Amino acid sequence: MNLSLAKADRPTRESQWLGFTSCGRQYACDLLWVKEVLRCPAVTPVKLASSYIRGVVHLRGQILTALDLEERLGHPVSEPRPASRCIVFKTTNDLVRLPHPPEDHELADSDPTGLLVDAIGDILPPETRVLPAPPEALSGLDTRFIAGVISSQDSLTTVLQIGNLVSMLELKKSPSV
Amino acid sequence: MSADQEMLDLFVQESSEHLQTLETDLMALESNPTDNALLNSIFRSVHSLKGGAGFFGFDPIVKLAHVMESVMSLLRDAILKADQPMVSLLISTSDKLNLMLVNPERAIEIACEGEIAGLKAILDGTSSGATPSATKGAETPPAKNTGIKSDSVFDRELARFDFHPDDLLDGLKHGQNFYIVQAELAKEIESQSQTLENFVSELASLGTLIGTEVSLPDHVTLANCADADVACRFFFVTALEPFILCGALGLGDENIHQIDSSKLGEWVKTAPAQNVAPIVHEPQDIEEKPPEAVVPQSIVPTSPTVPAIAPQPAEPTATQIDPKPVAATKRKPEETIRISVGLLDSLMNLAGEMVLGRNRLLRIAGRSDTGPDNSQMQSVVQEISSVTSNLQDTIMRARLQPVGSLFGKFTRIVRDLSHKLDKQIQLEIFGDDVELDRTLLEGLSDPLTHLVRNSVDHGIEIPANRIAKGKTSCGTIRLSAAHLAGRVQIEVLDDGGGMDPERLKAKAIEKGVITTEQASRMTDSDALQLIFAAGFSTAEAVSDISGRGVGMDVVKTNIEKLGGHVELESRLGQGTRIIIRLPLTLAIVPALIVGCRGTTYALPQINVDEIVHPGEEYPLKSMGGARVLELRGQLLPVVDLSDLLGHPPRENTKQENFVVVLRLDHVSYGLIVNEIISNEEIVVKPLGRHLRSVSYYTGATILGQGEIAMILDPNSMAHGRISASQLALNASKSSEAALSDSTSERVLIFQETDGEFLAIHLKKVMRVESVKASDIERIGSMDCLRKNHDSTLRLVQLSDLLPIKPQTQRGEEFFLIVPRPPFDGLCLVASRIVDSADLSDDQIDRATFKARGLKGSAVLSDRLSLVLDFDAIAEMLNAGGDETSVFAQGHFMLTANSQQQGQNQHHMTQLPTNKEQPALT
Amino acid sequence: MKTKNQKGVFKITPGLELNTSTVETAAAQLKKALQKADAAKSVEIDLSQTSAFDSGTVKILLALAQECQTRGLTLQIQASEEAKQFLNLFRLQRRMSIITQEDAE
Repeated sequence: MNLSLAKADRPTRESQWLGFTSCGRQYACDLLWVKEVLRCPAVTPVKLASSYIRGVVHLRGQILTALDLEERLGHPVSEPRPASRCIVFKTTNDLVRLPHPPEDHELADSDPTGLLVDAIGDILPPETRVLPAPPEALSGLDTRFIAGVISSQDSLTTVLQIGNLVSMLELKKSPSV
Repeated sequence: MSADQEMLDLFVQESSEHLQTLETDLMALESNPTDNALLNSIFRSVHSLKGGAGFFGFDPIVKLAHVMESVMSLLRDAILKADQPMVSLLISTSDKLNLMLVNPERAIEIACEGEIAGLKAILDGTSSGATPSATKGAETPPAKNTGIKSDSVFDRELARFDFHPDDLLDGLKHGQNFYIVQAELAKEIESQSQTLENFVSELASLGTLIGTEVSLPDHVTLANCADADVACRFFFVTALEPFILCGALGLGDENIHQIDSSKLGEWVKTAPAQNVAPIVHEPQDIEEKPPEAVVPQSIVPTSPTVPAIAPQPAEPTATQIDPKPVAATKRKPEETIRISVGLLDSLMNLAGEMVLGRNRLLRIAGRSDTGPDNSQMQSVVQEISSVTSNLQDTIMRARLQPVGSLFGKFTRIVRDLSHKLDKQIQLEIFGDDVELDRTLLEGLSDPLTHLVRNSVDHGIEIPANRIAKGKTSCGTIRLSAAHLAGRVQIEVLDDGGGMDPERLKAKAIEKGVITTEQASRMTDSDALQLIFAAGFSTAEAVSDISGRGVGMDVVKTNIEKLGGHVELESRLGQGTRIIIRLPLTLAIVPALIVGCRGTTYALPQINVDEIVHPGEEYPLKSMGGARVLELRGQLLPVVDLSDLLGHPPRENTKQENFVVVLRLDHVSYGLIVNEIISNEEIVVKPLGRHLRSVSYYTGATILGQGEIAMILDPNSMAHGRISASQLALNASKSSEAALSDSTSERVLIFQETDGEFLAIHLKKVMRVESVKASDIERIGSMDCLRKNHDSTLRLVQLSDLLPIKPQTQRGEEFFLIVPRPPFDGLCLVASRIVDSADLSDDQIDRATFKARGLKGSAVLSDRLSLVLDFDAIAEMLNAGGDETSVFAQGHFMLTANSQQQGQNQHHMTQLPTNKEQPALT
Repeated sequence: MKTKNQKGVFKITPGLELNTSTVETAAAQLKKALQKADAAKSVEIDLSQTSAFDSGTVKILLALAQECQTRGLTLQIQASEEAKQFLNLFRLQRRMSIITQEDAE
């Protein structure tokens, strides 16, 4: 399964996309990475953690690191908002069991990581065309986390590269904030 | 492909286990070349390796394993006797196999012509080591058949059966096992209440019967056949392994003799197209005692009988294993099951959660507001509580592995290293069945390797030097493990040259670790601790043996990361002893829960000395830019947790704060927190990678209501903020005291009643608590303070152990002096804490007051005090210690009350020291 | 034990079962019977009366075969199909010929 979504012509993939919104923007990610979605999780902030970490969440006996999407992407939001939803990503153990894990699955961690978003959207079918992101869409964002965009008549959905997102890549300074 | 990959991984995993066993056995073989159990075990290991490799088509491995297997077969059948060069060759072959199995697909790249040639030479009987065997044991007659080649014996053996070589082809092709199953019809088969028909059909169902032979002993005729029994032999091929076959047939190991299939294979190619006449005409031969080479040899049970390996102290053997019966804990293969590590971890996690839930349930159930008639619920809650404890124990036990699996590899390391350095060293291993959590075992591996290599490299002297010093030419390194009061104690002891404090000091000065002035004031025992300092290595050159930039400081850090301590004792010229103490389990630790600016944090209890409320009695001062706390005459550097965490400073209302005195190995400091919340046993949860990089946190835990608390690391917090100058301040304070008397130590003076004054060395004390009489419960015949539902402090009245005035009536409020681990499961009762003072060793009068448990007496602060010998007291209390209860919770829980209440007696009994633990000089 | 000499075949009909329960008696009787067999060339024993086969059966037959051999006689067992199958479990057919009712004329 080829996830180099920059190319417009890809071999057929079986995995769907999960759409979601944050700060009024649309995003999507590979559904294979997603384990579950938490509603209104209680996030405990952690002093001294990097700015893109909103805090930790208790998930059935494990400590989940909750990432702030906007911070992670490189445009921090001034007012902290309560987390409506948390997309929980699979851990190494979870991914190993998949017959066809996503290409970047080695980047997964042994402990759970999650992404705080506003709302969950639709599930997009595998055939959805993902195009390379046009420069204006990328301005101000850390491009390593962007896999491409999905274009529809009314909106542009940014497709995220989850592997990089959950890995330890340090935040690049974005040219414009 | 992934399924194949799985199988390949499984093969590699199993192979490495076989290789491990192989190595251990080969090592032991050096000292016991005729030990049948070993020979059989080695044979089997090689056989299994060959089989697996064959399945995957790793021909180079098969080839090498095959020659080795053939030699092993000769050894096992006592046709050859193993001697030193042969064993060395086998060991080197095993090494090559090891290398090959690292990357089986590229096994062809491993050069092993030497080994193959050597082994083949043995097989051809031309090698110098190929002496035909002498008597194998008591059962067999002495050899009349010296020089008989195995082939003719083989032929003869098989000739008894009537079969065609082609009958064997199928079994050979499938790599199955060939056996001769021998049994007496009446005594062995029928006595099991099975009919002969059933037995034979059972046999036939398990494999293929190639030939059968029945016979009566020579002398039996119709006249005297009543008492005789018919001996029956089946030539049989099956895929089953010997021990399964035994079980399936209801026979013993001595009934089943495996035939070397490779020999059979070759025989098939060369044998004449079957048989001589049937054996009818050779009655005399039938029961002639076959040459011992072919006597059915017992298939050794898969758990090697360790008692058979007797230590031979006379000769300097390379290794020696403690002949303690290991049978009790050794697991037979069919009784074990493979389980993935991830699954075990999940189980552990869930068990931990369950414990916490249970604790919350107990708290709720204990509240009176849950209804007046909740007695039914109470009993259910108690049931759940006990089941939960059991579950947790059991799961924790599942993660345990015997330390022997780690110790085992040192046999080889010591042997190789000592050869390399031309030293004679004997490695003794004790307590190899002591079990540790597997994560601990993993974490121990590197530090222990370093320590053992150190002993070999720097500790044990070369034989010439040893003899010159009047020692034996062969040095001893002793690796031991033992359970000791809720902890596991691992020791590396050598009788080498010991460490020279002067040299250590010199090196330390040279490396800039200490100043000359500090060195001159240092005691010998402090000097020894220098070896743990960062950047310190006494090796002249970083030898490849024990160097590589790994120092004792890394060992110490690694051990501490596991939650353990490491200590060192050494006597110049006599030897060194390194003691590692580890908790039995990683995951649940006692912690102090504190609050800082509204957020909850956990501090490992092991580092918490005491909690102090700064004020008049304990003033908080500023000295220069640093804050210090005056604590009983000492100045303690102090940091504010909110500062460390990056909170903006705010107006300090000091009355609300607390100072937690944290003790690291050689430094103490105070941590200012806003609240002291509770003492809890917490389950340590790992942090994800994004948070692991924050050095102040070593994990997180989930508290009662589900809220998360970060676990703080006292070590890194100290390095974070306490400047070198503050540390020096601390050092200078203590060294001022040291100036006055270099061997003085601080003691705490207290009273149990209004009688004698007692003094206990502060270094033995972890903390002092004040309690109310109402907090104390009576459990069985002991008084206890229940910390929470998992740990209990047992109260000890010193008047029960020492000839002092007993307490007739405990006050409403009193104190408990809690000793440092490993004795932190008990506490001494004190009615009053008087003071602390300095006491030097020569101030102690040992003549006037003598008793077990007392070092003597001394005049302190103008009063006569009895100085406690806490170690002796601990031993007296441990007289009835039971390992299993101790194991359960990581606390020192005594099951036997070795004292009698209300009696004022000296306990003069000698304590039973842990028998496995040799008395250390 | 009935015996009959028929054209060089010494036929023995044991009046009892040949198995563990009867070993002593049967063996003694067989020995006695054989003493009369010298004139014959082969011995045939009728196993049809034995219904229960066990190690004793094997033992008796083996000892019998031994005895016959010493005397230079061949041994033949007349057996039911069932008996033959039992004896063949131990490949006794190598030591003695076993014939069933169908084979015998």
